[in-house]
Order: sequence, then C-alpha cells, then structure tokens
Amino acid sequence: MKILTTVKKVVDVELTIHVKDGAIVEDGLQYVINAWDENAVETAVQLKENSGAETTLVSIGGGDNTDMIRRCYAMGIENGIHIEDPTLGAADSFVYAKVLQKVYEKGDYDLVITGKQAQDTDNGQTGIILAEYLGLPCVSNVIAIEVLDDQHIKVSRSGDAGTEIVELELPAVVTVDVSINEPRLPAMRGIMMAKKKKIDVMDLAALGTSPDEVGCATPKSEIAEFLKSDTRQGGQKFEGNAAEITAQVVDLLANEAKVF
Amino acid sequence: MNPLLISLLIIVALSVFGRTMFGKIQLLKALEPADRVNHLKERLMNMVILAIGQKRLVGRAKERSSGIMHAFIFWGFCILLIRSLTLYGEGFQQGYHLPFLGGDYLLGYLYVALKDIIEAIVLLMIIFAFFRRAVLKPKRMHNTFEAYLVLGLIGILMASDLLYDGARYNLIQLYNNPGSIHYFNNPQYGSEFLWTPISVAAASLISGLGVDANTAFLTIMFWLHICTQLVFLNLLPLGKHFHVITALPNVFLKSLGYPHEKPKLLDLEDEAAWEDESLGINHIHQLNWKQGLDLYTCTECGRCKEVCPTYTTDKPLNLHEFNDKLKQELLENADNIIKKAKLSSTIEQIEDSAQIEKLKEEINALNSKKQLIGEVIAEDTLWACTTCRACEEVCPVAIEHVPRITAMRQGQFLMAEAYPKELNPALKGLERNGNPWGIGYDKRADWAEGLDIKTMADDQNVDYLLWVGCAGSFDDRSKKVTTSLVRILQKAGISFAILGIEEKCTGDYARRVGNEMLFQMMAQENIETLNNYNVKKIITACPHCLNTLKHEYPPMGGDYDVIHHAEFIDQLVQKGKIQLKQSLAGALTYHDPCYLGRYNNIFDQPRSILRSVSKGVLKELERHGRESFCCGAGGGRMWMDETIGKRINLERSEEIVRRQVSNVAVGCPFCMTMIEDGMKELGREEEIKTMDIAELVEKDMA
Amino acid sequence: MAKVLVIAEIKQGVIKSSTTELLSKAKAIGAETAVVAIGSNIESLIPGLVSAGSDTQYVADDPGLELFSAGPYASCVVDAAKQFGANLIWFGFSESGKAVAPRVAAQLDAACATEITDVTLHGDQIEVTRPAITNKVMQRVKVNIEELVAVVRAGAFEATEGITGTENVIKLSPPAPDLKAVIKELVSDASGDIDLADADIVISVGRGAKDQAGIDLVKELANDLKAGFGSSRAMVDGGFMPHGKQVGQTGKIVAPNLYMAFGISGAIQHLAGMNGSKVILAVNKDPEAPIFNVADYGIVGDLFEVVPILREEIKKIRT
Repeated sequence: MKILTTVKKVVDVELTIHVKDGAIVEDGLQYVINAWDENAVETAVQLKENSGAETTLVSIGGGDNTDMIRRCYAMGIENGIHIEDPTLGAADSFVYAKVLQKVYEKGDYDLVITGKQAQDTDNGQTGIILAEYLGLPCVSNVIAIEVLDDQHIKVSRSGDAGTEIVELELPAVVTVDVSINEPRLPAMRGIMMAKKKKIDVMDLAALGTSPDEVGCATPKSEIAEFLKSDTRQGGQKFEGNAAEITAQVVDLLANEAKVF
Repeated sequence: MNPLLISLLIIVALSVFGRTMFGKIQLLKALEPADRVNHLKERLMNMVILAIGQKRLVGRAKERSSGIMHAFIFWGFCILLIRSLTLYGEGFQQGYHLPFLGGDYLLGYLYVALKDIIEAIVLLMIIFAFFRRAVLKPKRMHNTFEAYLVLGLIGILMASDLLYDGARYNLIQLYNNPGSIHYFNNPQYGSEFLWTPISVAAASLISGLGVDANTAFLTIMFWLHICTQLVFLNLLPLGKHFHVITALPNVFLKSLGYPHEKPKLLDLEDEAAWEDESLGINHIHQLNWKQGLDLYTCTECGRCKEVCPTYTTDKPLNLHEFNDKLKQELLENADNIIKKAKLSSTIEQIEDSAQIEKLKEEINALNSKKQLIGEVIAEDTLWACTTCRACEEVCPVAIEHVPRITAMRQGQFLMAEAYPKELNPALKGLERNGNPWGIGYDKRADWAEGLDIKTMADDQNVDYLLWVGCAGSFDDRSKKVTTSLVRILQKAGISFAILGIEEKCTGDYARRVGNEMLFQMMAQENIETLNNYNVKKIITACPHCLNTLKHEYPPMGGDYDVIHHAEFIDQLVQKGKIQLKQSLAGALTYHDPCYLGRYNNIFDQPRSILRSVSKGVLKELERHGRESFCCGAGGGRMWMDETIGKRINLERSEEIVRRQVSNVAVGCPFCMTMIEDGMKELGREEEIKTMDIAELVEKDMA
Repeated sequence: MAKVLVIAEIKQGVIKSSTTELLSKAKAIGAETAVVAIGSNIESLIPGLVSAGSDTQYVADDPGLELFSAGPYASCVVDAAKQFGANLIWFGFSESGKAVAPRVAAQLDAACATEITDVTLHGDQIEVTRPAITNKVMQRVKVNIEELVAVVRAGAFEATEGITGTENVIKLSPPAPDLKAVIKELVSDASGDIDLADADIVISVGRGAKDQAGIDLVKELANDLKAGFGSSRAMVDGGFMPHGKQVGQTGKIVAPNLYMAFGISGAIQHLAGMNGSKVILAVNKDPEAPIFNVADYGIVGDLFEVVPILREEIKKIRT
C-alpha cells in the first residue's frame, strides 16, 4: 500500500498571538508541525510498521521546512515532497487541495491521510475538498483505522450520534483527529539518519502545473484583517450565598454563554 | 611442622587462587575503560576513612552495633594476617617468627597479646553475627548458605588458632614440653603465656585430656587452620565475599564526585557508536571495568534497599538483586568478553582492510545480544529510580549505582528507543518551548511583571544572573518562591538580572531519563545565551538547575560560579545585608532535597537560616541530612505516574506529620510540589505549612 | 436578494436549536429562507421546520438516510441548493456539518468558511468573521465569489422570538448511496461512559471532592447533562478515579463546549488538558485557586453545597 500524508508548517499555538493593525505580529513567533498532521504522520508510520505500507509526505509552502520534514523522517516516513512557490502565499483550502491533487496524480497512492484541520486556519476543509477533486471516498474525523486487505480499510469516525464504523474502498482519503494515536518522539537514531535523507523540493512548474491552474491568483476568499480574540482570562468570579450565585451562574451559562 | 606438606598445600591453593584471580582481572581489563587512576592522595584518604576506617559501618548511627561487629571482624582480619604468615612459617621451620616480632622483642610480645584478644573478639563477633542472622533476622539481609558458611569458616579459623595455642600451652606448661616446642621466654618479659590469657583459657578446655590428646590437638588445629584458610581464600572470589579482596580497591577507585568526575558526555555525532550500539549501556559487554568491579564487590548487605525510596515503597527496584543479576550475566559472558578484547587489541597491528572487516565481524559475533533491560532487568526496575543517591551514601563498599542506571537509561532511550511513553509530553514540551509543560516560551517571564526586574538584554552588567528555572517561571506555587527570592535580593541591594524569555530548561530531567540528545541541545542553547552575556555568577532556587549548571555544563563549554539561594541568603545574613527578626512561631523541620544535600553537600546553610527565622525549635526528621528521604520527583519521575506500590511523597509526608511541626521548609520546587501534595492528601495542609526557605526569609525580613 | 439554505440539525428525532438560530439570522439579514432536512421518517418534523423560520422545506426522507453518510447527505444539500438557487448555505456546528460543508462547496464551486461567528452582506459582497489560530484570533474574511458554504459556531446567532415560516414542502429524490464508503455500524453514545474527547460537556472532579461520596455527587450532575466525566490527577492518584478519566497533560486533552471543574485547583498540568474548552465553569473553596484565572465563570464555594443547587437550576433551565 502506498500512503501519502500531508504535513503543514504552522505557527506554534502555545505562544501568545498578538494582533496589531489588523495583522498578526510575526516577531517572536515560532513554527511547528500542525498537531493533527503529526497524528497523520504517526498513522502512516504505524500502517507502515503493521502492514508494510510505503509512506510519502507532502508539504506545501512554509519556506524552509527541512527541520520539520526531517523530524517526520525520523518518525519513520520514507519519502518527502515539498512544494514551494512564491505564488502560494495567499493560498486557501481549495488551492491547497488542487496542488495536492497534482501531487497525488504524479504518484500512485492508495491512501491519503491528512490531519483533520490545521491549527492556524482552523478550517478542516482541505482533505475533504481533495477527495472531491479526486473523486475518492472520504471519511473525516477518523479515530481508528484498520487495514482489511489490499483494497479495503475500516475506519472509526467520531460522529454526532456516536462512533461510526465505515468500510472504505481504496484509493481513499481520510482525515484524522488527535485522539487516533499519540505521535511518537522521533527516534534518536532516526534523527541521525534523517540528516542524510533527501527532500524532493519542487515549485508549481516542476510539479507540472501553474499558478492559474491551481487557482492561486483568484482565491475564493481572502483574509481582510485579523482581530484580537479574547484571550483566556479569568471571567466572572462569584462569592457569597451559594444558592444565589449558583442560580446566577446557571443563568449566565444558559443565556450568555449559551451552553445549555 | 612439615615443609613438604605445607609447600604442597600452599602451591596448590595459590595456583588455584591465582588462576581464579587472573580470570577475574582479565575480565575487568576486557571491559570498557574508565579513568580512575588519578588524584591518588584523595583516593588514599577515601580508602583509609571508608574502607579501613569502616566509616559507613561504625560511623553510622543506625545499626552501629552491627557496624562495630563487622569492623572488628575486618580489623581483626588485618591484624591476624601477620599471625597467619607466622603460622605458615611454622610449617617450614619450628618457631618461625617475622622480623622484630620474635621473643626477643617487646613488639613480639605485644603482638601476641593483641592477637590473643583480637581472636577472642572476632570469635564473639562471629557468634553475634550468627545470632543476628538466624534469630534477629534484620529485614535488609537475606540469608544464604554462603553467608553461614563464611561465618562458620571464620569461626573455625579463630577457634582453631586458639586451641592450637591452647594445646601448645598445655604441652609446654603442663606436660613439660616433650616435643621441645618453641615459645617466647625472654627473661625481661616473661613467658609468652603471661601475655595471652585467652589462649590459656582455651588451653584449660583441653588440659585434662592428656599429653597425647594435646599433641594431636596441636597438629590437627594447625593443619585445620591452614587448610581452612587456604580453602577460604579460594572461596572468596566465588561469591559475595569477594569483597574481602575487592573492597579496598573498589573504595580506592571510587568516584570522587564533582568536580573531579562528570557524567560521561556522549558523542552523538559518532556514527560508529550508533552502528555498534555503544551509546549508553544496553548489553553486558558495555560495562566499564569499574562497574564490573562494583558488581564483584557487592556484599549483598541490603543497606541500599533500606534507604531506597522506591524499594521501601514496594517498587521493583531491589538494588542488590540488580547488582547480582548483572554480575551473573557478566560472569556468564566472561569468556566472550575476554576473547573480544584479545581480538580487538590485534586489530591495531593489522593493515589489510579485508582482514579488519573479518575481525570486526568476529568481534561483533562475540558481543552479547541479550538486552539487559527486558531480559535481565525488568523495565519497571530501571525506571523506578529517582536518582536520589541514598544507596550510594550508605553503601559500605562505595558502589556507584546511579550512574549505571542513568547509562542504562541512555541505552534504552538512544538505542533501544524504549522508554516510558508518558514522558512524551514533557520531552516534546522541552524541545519545542523549553519547559516540560510546553507552555509558550514567550510567557516565561510573565511572573516578573510588576517586580521591576532587569533582563540581561536590558543590562548585562550586573553581578549575578538569577536563574529562575521552569517551575519558578511557570508553576503557580513556585512563582511565589521566585517572587520571595527577588524581594530578598532587592532588599539586600544585590545587582542581578534574569534571562527572561531567553532562559530555557537546563535539560536536567532529559538527561536523567536518558535522552542525551535533548539534554545536549538544551545545554548548547543555554550555554550560548549565557556566554553571549558573559555570565559569571548564577543564583538559583532549584537544586536540579544548580546541579546541572554547576557540574554538567562545564564539559560542554559553560563554566559558571553557581550558587543555591540557601547558600546565598545565608551569606547575606552572615554579612548583615538582611536582618531577620526570628519571628516564625511553631516547631519547624527541614526536608533536605537530594540534589542540594547529597549531590551538592549543602546541609548547614539552610539550617542556619532556619534557626535565624524561627523562634520555635528546629526539629530534624528521622531521615535527614545525608540520609534524607527523597520526595520522589527526581530522575524524571516528576513527569511520570507512580502506579506501583505506595507513593513516595506520601511516605515522606507521613514522616513529616509524625514529627509534629507547624512548618516544613524545603529548598526545591519539586520537593515543594511533592510534599505539599502529600500534605493535602493527608488532609494536613492547614496545620502544616510547606514553605520554601526564601518565603520564610522574606516574611521574616526586617 | 440573498437566499439562505439552512441545513436542519436533527438529533435523535429532535430539531436542534441551531436550525432556528440560523434561520433567524437569515431573516435578520433580509434573505429568503429555505431549510433542507435529511433523514428517515422525518415527515413529522415538517411543522417544526416551518415554525423554525423556513419558507421552503426541502425534505430528503429515505431509509437509506437514517445513518449519516457524508456523500449522500452532501448530494441532498447540493440538490436543494441548486433547486433553491441558494447563495448562502449554512450548517450548524456539528461533526456532520463539518464533514458535509466542504463537499458541498467543492461540488458547487463555492467558497467555504468554518465556524463563522458573524456574516454581513455589503450588496453582493459577503463578509464573515471567524476564529483562527486555534481560536486565539478572529479574522474578517471577504468572499470573492457569490456563493458561500459555512458552518456556524454554536450559539453565534440568536433565535428570534416568535419567528414564523411558510409551509412549502419539496421532496428531494433519494441520493445514490456511497458504495465506496459503507457505514457498517453505529456505536451509540447513549449507553456506557461518554468519551471525554468527544463530549460536548465535560465535568471533572478534583481533590475538593474528597472521596467516593463527593465523586458520586458530582457524577449525578454529569448524568443529568449526559456529560463526559473526568478527573484531575489528584483523584486518579488517590485511587478514586481510573487513569482513563484523567484530564491533563499526562491524561486526556479535552476541548468541549462546556467544562466544569469541581474542587480542582487548576495546576498547570490540569489546565494543559482543558484550556481549549469553549466555556469553563469552576467551583472551588479557595478564592485564590489558579483555576479562576482561566474560568469564565467561577463560583467560590463548597462543591457539596453548590452541586445540588446547580442540578436544580439546570433542570429548571432545560425544561
């Protein structure tokens, strides 16, 4: 089985993000592998270990992704593709999906595993849109995966009514949730070996496509500005008569926070 | 007596012994190298105090009686060696004596008197030893046939010599010396037997049996003594009594600790090391010779188990069993290891690369493939250790348990990639954001807001760098300690700054769990930052930071004068830079942190400070000072769940509760967390306040 | 004129409040409204769909639609959207919604926005606000084309009091089943313990609960709310709760809509496990407890007193 997994370099969300003049303050930010994609990588590596699959990762944009890709190599991924092109700056999920489509078509993959969403965009769309473009079956929010045979996999999806058990015919696309596994620490030995491994870096032309074809120039939506979000601060603290303040809080929960 | 017979016995016994010893030494030489032949004067002192002086036995309040018992057996042994030589001589020539120890010299008489008393004392000690083992049965000991056998043999040695001399006395004094036995009879000092009352008493036991019986006793006791001794000699290398021979060298060669010895810095760039899996210890042949000697020397006394916080809370880390299992494995592989060493030494002389390759293959085939962890030692055993070093503190023969455990963890981590996965979040957090909780590095200096503190980036021309540490920066409870310390420094007018968000975890726990790669990465980054700012002196409130910065950074290029806040505050008090009102009421006790006390020898300064702040009495915990009981967080255990046995922090908290105090002072953020948690769990957090030294001082400052 | 198609959120035969909220917003921005309901045996829900505020109801009622499957559900939505001529297609915040929306967008070549908190129209220009960077910032997004598919954040829109609609039912032909993604089984949440990671509401106990009696007390509340029931490390260490229930750095990371912490002080390790929750309620005796620094609503009090009152009050609210 040949697996393609996507890996996006995103801002480390442990850091405090400052917004100034409608833009994110870049100073002091560090970039890391998208948490969900780390799970995708771990899923791919486990499939390699258990079912002998061949694994490839693809990363789009992000500048110098060498460290991130090497870390994935150290986790066990065998091949790496990095698509970097100056026109990809304002790419949205649809553009990413188009580029991924081109990457997919260049290879011969049976299964595409992406993270459920990216921690910078919070979108959760790319994997599903890719499946539409490729005309492949897709299950999102997967929390368990099992290989049935060369042509079929069984996945568990965390749905609204419970856990959905779905059988997929390959080739297929799955997007995984963080609860699917615990990504391993890259093996020490793997880190040493990874230093020598090559990464296949390509721009859109080398990939056999163009900015127009993937829709770079005409994104369907664009970010007009960033705004501050309320950081997690302590909210309202109530002291006093238990019955009174509890009633007050429940009222707030229902009508202000709208959680009931 | 019989020169031919005695020559024969000596030759046979010594040949066998020599052969055994040769094998044992060869095995050690074939193991990995260790740099221990240095600082000879200091090593000699250690040997004199610990081994000859039996300091850890006689000098330890606990079980002093058994310590004295053993000390006398040992000293007796040493003193009686001279006697033994005389006896062997007697086998060749009647009345043989060593120079200056014959009948013409006072020294000779003094010696026989001494020998007499000593033999009696040793015999009594042996009886006491039997009694302890068989009747009192202390928990730490385990009774084996070997133990009783050796006691028996020593008993026989003493008894036989006394009876030999007893028979001599009878024949000489009572039966008019028919065989013309030689004895001291100098007119100035009198008869030998005036000086040996014990032998005379022994003589009276057999005096009534007649001249023939006594002559028989003379001969039999003589040969019994000789043979027992020669058999005993050959039994020594075979079991735990090898320590009789190896203890002195082992103590001589023991680790001199910081600053003489630092943990071995692994070269992670060395590809060959990755190839033959020689980073850390995974297989028995990777031990170094000192570690091999340690294994030979374990006396199975069990003192390590008694003080080990994990063993006493029912975790599977039984240190003497650990030693024993490794020793068995080592001995089983002895032949291969020796062969391997021989082949390796020939490689130097060979030029032909094909031959070298072939040799390398042969060598590889001789390497033990058995994984020590998993096949010889259980995983839980290895990871239970908190690296507190209580075991090393009490071991009478100075075995170095903890570095071996750390090296095995390195092997597991780096080579076998097997380690408790629950460490992942703490390790990932460290890698990414420089702290075990993975909190954004940009928040590391948030605690300092409003406290008017400079960062090195603002002004590096300060006297001290205050190294805050991860707990002090992020943990709510520890932040209060940092704030207290800052207030003290400001009050005393000390010029200092912090690194702020440029500070990263020292990497201590990464190293303790065997992740040498991550440790070196953190160290390199920190050292670069520190050197950039030309930092010379560092104050820290965390003993783990203290230990790492002070002792483990120098081999990587970071040399700083690091001082714990307890030391520093003590200096401030002594110099009068801060005044203390001694206003703390209620009884107080102090919990010695392992990394401050045992690792860095800081015991007095905290106590001196506490006496200055407290008007109540400063009580000592039962297990205090050098034998303080670990809080359970060291060795990376802070980041792991404790699922086996009783929780260590609970054990320690109960001990504190028993002491009936209102306050327990600590000097370490880990101890703070563990003990406070323990108090909460026991429901005592209102009655017994857990406070850091800095907090107590801040409250008490005038 | 804008035409908004709202996908009705139906759970266990009940139309969820998001449907009304989304339709209310649609009417508030002056759009024509339609709703599409997908499922099996949902005829009886039509009056409810009307009174939720829809002026047209597209109904796809087929046994094959009883269990959720993204492919066929997307087909129904696309069908309805095309028939209606919708330029705005809105889903409530659910796993189904998140799975179907991108498909619909791809098939209709529309734009797609997840978890929008607001939508405005400037003529034909659609603008939405939504969170980004794991909810740490907000972004204002301009849609450059005419059609937008969006998943709306829970509670972002308000239901209009007394909203009404018109009955105009259009039956949709059942879609082809997805032969390549066959749903084999649905393991329902209703029985057994609720998985902490997926639960909408998670309630955790800490040392303040003291022992089994305290835990049982809080568990009643969790049962009332069908919430996931978790624990801080202290109670797991104390042997009162199993390790699988531990919320925290070395346990489970949860991000439910509502997290209630009872008797939990809020040590960093615990916060690391629940900081991503939408709304945090904390109850603790100690007013200085760090948990109050992150709780949206804090009650300083004894949980033994507060929990029974909470249950009462919540019961009142939900009826």
